[in-house]
Amino acid sequence: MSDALLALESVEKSYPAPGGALRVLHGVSLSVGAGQSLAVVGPSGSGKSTLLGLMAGLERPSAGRLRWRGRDLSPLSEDGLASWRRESVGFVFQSHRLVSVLSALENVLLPLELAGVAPGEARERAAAVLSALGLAARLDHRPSQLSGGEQQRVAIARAYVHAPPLILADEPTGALDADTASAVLDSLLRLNAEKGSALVLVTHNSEAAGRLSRRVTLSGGRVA
Amino acid sequence: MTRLAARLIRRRWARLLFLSACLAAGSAFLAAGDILLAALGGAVASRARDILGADLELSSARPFGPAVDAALAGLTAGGARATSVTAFSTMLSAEGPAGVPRLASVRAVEPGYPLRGTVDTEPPGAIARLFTGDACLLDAAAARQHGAKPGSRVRLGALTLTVAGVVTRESGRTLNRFQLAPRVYMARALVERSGLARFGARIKHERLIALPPSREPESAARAAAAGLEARLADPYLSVTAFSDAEPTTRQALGRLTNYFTMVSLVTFLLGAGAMASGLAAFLDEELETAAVLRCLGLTGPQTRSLYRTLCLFVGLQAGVLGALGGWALAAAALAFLRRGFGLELPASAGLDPRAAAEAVLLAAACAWAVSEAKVRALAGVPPLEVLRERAERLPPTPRGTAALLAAAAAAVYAYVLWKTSSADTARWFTAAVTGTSAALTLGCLASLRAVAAAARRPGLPLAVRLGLISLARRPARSLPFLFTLAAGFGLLGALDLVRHSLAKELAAGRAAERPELFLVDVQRAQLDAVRGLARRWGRGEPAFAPLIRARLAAVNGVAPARRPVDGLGQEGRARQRMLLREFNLTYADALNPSETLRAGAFWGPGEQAGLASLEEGFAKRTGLKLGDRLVFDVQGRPVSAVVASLRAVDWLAMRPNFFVVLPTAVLEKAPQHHIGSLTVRDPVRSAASTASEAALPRDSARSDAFRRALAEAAPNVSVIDAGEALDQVSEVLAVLLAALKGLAWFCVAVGLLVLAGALALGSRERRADAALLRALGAGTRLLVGADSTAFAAAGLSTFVLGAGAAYGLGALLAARLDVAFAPDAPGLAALLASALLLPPAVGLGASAPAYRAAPLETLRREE
Ligand SMILES: Nc1ncnc2c1ncn2[C@@H]1O[C@H](COP(=O)(O)OP(=O)(O)OP(=O)(O)O)[C@@H](O)[C@H]1O
Ligand SMILES: [Mg+2]
Repeated sequence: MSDALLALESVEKSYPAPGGALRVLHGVSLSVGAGQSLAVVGPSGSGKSTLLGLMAGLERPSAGRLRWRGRDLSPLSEDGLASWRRESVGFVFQSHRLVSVLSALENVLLPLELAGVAPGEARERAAAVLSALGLAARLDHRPSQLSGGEQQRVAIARAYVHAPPLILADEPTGALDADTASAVLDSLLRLNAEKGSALVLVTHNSEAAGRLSRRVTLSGGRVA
Repeated sequence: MTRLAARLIRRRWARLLFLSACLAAGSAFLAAGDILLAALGGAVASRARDILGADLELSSARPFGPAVDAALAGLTAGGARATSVTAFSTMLSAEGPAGVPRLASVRAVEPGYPLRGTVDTEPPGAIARLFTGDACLLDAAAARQHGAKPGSRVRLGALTLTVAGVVTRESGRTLNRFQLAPRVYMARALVERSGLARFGARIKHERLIALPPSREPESAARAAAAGLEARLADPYLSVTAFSDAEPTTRQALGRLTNYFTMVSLVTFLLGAGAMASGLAAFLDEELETAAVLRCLGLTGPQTRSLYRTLCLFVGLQAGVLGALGGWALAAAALAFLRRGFGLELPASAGLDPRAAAEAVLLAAACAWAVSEAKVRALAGVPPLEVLRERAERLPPTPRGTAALLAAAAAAVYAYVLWKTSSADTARWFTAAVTGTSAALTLGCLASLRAVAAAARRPGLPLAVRLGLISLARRPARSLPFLFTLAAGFGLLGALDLVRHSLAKELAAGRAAERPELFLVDVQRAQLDAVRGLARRWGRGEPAFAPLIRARLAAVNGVAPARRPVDGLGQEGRARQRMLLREFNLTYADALNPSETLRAGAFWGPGEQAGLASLEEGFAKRTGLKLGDRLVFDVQGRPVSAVVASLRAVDWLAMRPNFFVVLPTAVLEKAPQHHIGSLTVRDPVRSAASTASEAALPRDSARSDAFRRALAEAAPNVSVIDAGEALDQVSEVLAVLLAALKGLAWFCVAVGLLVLAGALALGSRERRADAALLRALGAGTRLLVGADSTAFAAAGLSTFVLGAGAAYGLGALLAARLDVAFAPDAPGLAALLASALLLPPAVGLGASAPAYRAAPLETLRREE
């Protein structure tokens, strides 16, 4: 397993709920190799988003552990997780989640700025990524001035602008028309192929899932 | 519908309670003021009869003529009782060489006094013994001053009297505790023999009348007073019904009402502002819920009335909390006044249903008014826009806001007019509030622009840039946030500056070089002898000035007329009182060192023309201006004068000073006596003690010797100890200052609530931003750095705007209260330093959980 980029070992997650704890994930073990592309499918409520959040360190598992290149992530503090994420993970939320006071360009700049990329270069890269997603004319618009699909594309640009080794995307194309959706998927897969970024994609679309190298089906919080 | 509203209220109760609390504090303040002032006013009204000791009082500086006796005979025939009192101030001393003459206020009375109220003595009933021999009653202060007790003997003019008893309590007098001289009672029959009643002595002749029992004693007294006045038509005679007695107490009460109304209204407005922005933020966040409800079939009007109900609930809750809080506050203030001033006040204020209803209605109306435009907007947004996340917040409502502000200004004007019945005060206050608000709004906008400009500067650390952006790009949140902070701190600062100015004025009154003894009733023939004594025992040159009693007979050819006081506002009453009463003139051909020319020109030596110079405050209160033609009635002789100049007088210099000065040649021959002032204190010792504000040591052996020598040479001359008077004044002021401080602390409490409200405004967004940045890999340092920058920028602009507002408001308020504005920059800076520190401290504290939590947790919660 030492060649795995990210490995989940018997990860469980439960939430406190009105009638006692609600177990959402039951001992999920899974590993993502460098450069792999993995589709996570499963019915609604099966725990896909929860799994993705755990993989990004946005939440901690109730039991089990995660390893990044063999190193246990559980002892890391929130700040430690954040700086790991900064270097290693790009994340696309199921609902796009842009910083509302920042323009499209500024949102995409954030990961580069956090990584300390020089301002000039950062601008160029961010603008290039946004243009590639068809948003060249929308750089200075605020999220409230963008359509849902446009917002989603900004969120995707933000996730991969700094070419992280792992991109986690939670239904990134759900709000897009078929053409745009496949263009977005193309660019994610191109990044996967050219830069070797591993891609974990949650999707309900089996055609999209078919374009990825592996598929994991979640059902009732277990890997089926 | 009501079920739905109730469910929403239950879900949001903490939030709604908090919004209510913002308004409740101000509302409590208003209610407390109402209850308190009603209690004070009631106390004055209910004691006015006791204070006067009668239902009606006729008074004059001249003995009464037969016309008065005839008029009174008519009244007594109808069942009224009458008695005569002669009142004057003179020097009283214990018998024997050790006795030191001190000023006493003498009431020479007849059997049957008082007609109303009681004079309790120790031993009891001693007042009856006044009429059985050469006896007198001393009040407790006089007894203390002269070490006298029943059986002691005291000297008063040519008389030696036996102390028959000590007055323990006079009904009504406790409301007016601070008097220049202690009181002494003796029989009126003794006045002649005392030798004190000669011409020029300041004697007040009184006839007191008790009317037969009536169901409406106030209007009966007023009617009788009006009847007597019309019948006697004597300008030197004043007739006072008990219901109009105690003008100075009433005036003080009026001032208190003005001040309290204004301060509490500002607090209320501040709380209303905080509630308004809180409600706006709340309604913004309800956008999605409302949209969903609309999609489910709720109509626009139904949505409107649902949210209107919620907002009204906030107002009603605030009103109820405010009424209860105000009641508690009033009870505390009454207790404070009873202890601090020794006033006879009701032990507890009742929970006045009228004041409570007023508070609840006002709060509900206010909550409705500030939310109505937003509620309409909320119900008007197309639901699909919201659900497709195109509309994240309510559209701005510029017309609603403009209407609200105009209505608020009108309401403020109407409220102040209603409470103070002074159009001038209402105008002034409305102008001050709207002017300050407009200036502050512009200031806030300017500082937001400055923040936005700063954020664009290249090379800023990411945290700093993010912080500045979050402040600058949410003007709808940042503007009310900055405004409430700046207004709150500005008000606090202003109150503190006024308090400081008052304290400073008081301290100035104790400065060493001020004269401390005043001499009154120095006859012309005695002037040289008295001046000699003053030079011998005093330090430096004593100041003397002639004093001539006069009335204003005409202003620009029209005689000032007495109008019923009911129709007059506060200023109108004061003005009428000043124009009608007898007052003091002096003559001089040069300004004295405590006077400064403000307008016009002062005449030179030898001026023959009829000119007059007025003190500017007097001119303002009476409405007299440069160029007005005045005719004075100087004891029967008309003297014409044109107002040629206005002067400012430093009253605290304690020199003989007058409202009206005429040229020497014009008044020299008029009947007159002199007043003077001198210093007896040891200059070295007193200079040392000015540093501390402690009571100055007086060179008492020296001043006692002077008093004895003066009593020997000119027994009719009264000595007023200004040091003692100032001590009394300072005692009152100390209590007042403590009250002001209490008021300021209350404002701090309101300010903190407002601050918390302002911070809560943006905290949701700030927490969501923090979680999102964290998901993108931002560390705690960046998050704290960004928020600190935002709060520090807010703190800095609060500091600057607050300081400006404090200075502006403080100066306005001081001018309004006739206090010399003495800004205290270090004190203000210290106060405002909390404006710099408080927002970062409270704001970071509120966001702290978001820094520590896993980002998904926060994001989900803010969903
Ligand atoms: N914070 C929480 N507290 C309680 N239960 C939660 C919480 N978060 C998620 N759940 C529950 O966990 C289960 C899995 O949720 P998750 O969001 O992972 O589903 P999903 O597979 O992404 O579904 P979808 O395809 O609809 O997005 C759901 O039943 C949900 O109700
Ligand atoms: Mg999901």
